[in-house]
Amino acid sequence: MSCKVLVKGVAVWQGDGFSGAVDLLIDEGRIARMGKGLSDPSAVEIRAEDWLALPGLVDLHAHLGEPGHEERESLDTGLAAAAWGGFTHVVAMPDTQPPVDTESAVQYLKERASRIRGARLLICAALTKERSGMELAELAHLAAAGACALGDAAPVEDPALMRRALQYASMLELPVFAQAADARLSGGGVAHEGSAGHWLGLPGIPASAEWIAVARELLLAEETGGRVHLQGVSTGRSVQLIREAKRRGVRVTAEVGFYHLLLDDEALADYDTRKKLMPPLRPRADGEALLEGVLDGTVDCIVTDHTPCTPEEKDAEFDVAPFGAAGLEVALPALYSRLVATGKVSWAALIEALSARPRRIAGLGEARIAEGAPCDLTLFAPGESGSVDPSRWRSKARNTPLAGERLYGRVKGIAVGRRLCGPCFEELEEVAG
Amino acid sequence: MSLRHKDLLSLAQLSREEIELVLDTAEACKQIFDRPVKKFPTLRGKVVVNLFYEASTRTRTSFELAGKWMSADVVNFTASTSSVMKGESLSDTAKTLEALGADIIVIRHRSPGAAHLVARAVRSRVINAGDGAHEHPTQALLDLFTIREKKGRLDGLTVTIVGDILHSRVARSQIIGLSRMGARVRVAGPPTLIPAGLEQRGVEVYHRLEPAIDGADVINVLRIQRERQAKGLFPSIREYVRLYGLTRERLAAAKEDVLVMHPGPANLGVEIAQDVVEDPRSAVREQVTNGVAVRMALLYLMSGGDARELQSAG
Repeated sequence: MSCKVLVKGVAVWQGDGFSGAVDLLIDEGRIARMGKGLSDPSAVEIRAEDWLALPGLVDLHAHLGEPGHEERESLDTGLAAAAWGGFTHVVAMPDTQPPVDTESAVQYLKERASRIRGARLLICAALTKERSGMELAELAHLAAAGACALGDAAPVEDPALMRRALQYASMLELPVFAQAADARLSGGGVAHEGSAGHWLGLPGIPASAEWIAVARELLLAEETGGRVHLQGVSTGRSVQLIREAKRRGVRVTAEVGFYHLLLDDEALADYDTRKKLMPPLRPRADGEALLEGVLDGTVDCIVTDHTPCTPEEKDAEFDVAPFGAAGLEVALPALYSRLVATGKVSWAALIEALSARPRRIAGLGEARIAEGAPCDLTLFAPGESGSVDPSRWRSKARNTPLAGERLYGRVKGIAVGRRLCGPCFEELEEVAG
Repeated sequence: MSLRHKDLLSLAQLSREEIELVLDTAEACKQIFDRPVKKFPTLRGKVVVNLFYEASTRTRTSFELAGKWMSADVVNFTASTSSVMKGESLSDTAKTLEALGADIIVIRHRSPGAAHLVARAVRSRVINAGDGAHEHPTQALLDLFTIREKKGRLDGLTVTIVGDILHSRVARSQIIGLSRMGARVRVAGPPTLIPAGLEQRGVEVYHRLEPAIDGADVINVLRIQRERQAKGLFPSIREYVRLYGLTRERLAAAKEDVLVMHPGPANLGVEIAQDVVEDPRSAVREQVTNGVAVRMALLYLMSGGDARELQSAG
């Protein structure tokens, strides 16, 4: 829908805090008017008292299944899930079948996504042909087609190839998305190598598998001047390495998956395969260091690493089940409930990590909520609460370790350009018939 | 008194009192071995299914005899004859067994947590007979039984576990059980086969055999899997034998009345010498016998049986 909408009585994020209740008139993809006591007989009204309007959230890391894994997710369900989770933009990883490693593949996905009601699709195209880690993909072609990042969504084993990739990509002004894991050290592991995993008899993934890969990418970025974005950082030591590298002026950004901020490896005691993540859940101290990294900006952003799996895939022995948890539709309420409502993280810090910094990394402009500005905002009702019920998701996936948890806050919708999606807009349509 | 939990997945689920209950009940069960007719009528009409995804002769036979001597109907379901090859999931298989009327499912599987998965899927009671490198609680219980029988107590004893602690489900269950019963636990093996952080659980870690067995009341030798050598965790079997193989000469470093155990099957001449197994100080054969008694006790208690009734039934 792209009709005229008047959002009444919402508190708007203004860069350093929320405004008092104001009205937003959304028309033709812009915030046509913003102020108190607005009325427009031609607009549909949404009562938004006690809601918040946040600058549009951006998820830099999601697996959306299409093409090739439509049994897990499709662009239709994935982009709708992102929107219903409060994200105006989502970056899809190229680990599809076939992989997104050509100009035409990028163009096809963009074309497909343009006709889907949901979040806007951004694309991380493959860094190497076939994601094989053997030779570079046609990176300039991928950039020209509109990819926002280049990365294989898998560790690149060969350091020489990663070095060339950073050198070459630097002229394209696109970040190289690197998954920081040394496959030989992590090989065969399914849980963090430590006390919790040991007593569960789970083959371990040592923290050094990440440290070594993080150190390698940081040094290669430093030497080449390339721009690297470290995906899925999960250990305190990595945060320290990144902090030091940033001080030296290395062009590095980093992300953490939100589950790693909320859960630790002690949670694996019930062998629930929904908690089998890559990187694995780490000890609590790592989670605390990651949170510190988010707060001081060392870790630039929080991502969902949305990894849909079918129930059949996850109904398996822990060591056999695939890695990953779906997160698009639970991330914001979970982060709000566990971190903001508890006072561990301010709204300002959360918005930095979910909007401002990921936008810069993805090359998007700043999202301002102001009169005349283009629409790019997320509506959130912090006062509503409910149990996480994946059966009601837009996503095809159900695999979240937070299923059944009571969380505060409900995403009401997103407005990005002319796209208005989410429960509050859907209700309008139902009323309108 | 009975057991609190529906299932036996980990020895950590049992309190000290519950472990004592199992051992006491096993003692009563063991009397049957001397009888001409080895049969208690107590589990008549109960169905016990042995769901074994890994080859195992002694544990499966032990559970089978335990069930039969308690008059239960025992069915063996092994991976090679099952629908596993047809792609049926473990939880689905378990639900099928439940639908067939299984009261107790005994599961052996290569994946850690497999018993948890089954226990969540069904209302039948589940006994973990070994899940990957996680636990083997019935083996640890029979070891506790054997030690208590030979030494008269568990509290205050020093028990040394030798070998591949990292991959051993037996070691995990033993460490939990022995610590709970008040024994002091030592482990000995190369650093590549000993997990970090055992000391925090009160376990003493040794890399040389002699000091590890010096003053020990019990030595528990673990089987060494040859595939660990292939994975580079130690350079050769020859070198392993030189460092950790338990021979009669080495046994001289231990107490005179030391008790030697091995969960079996043993690589004779590798982690343990033939003459040590046959030595009067070894309880390797009795461990096997005791295994049946302990599993009878568990099947009985998990079917809601009362230990006192069993004694009067005898």
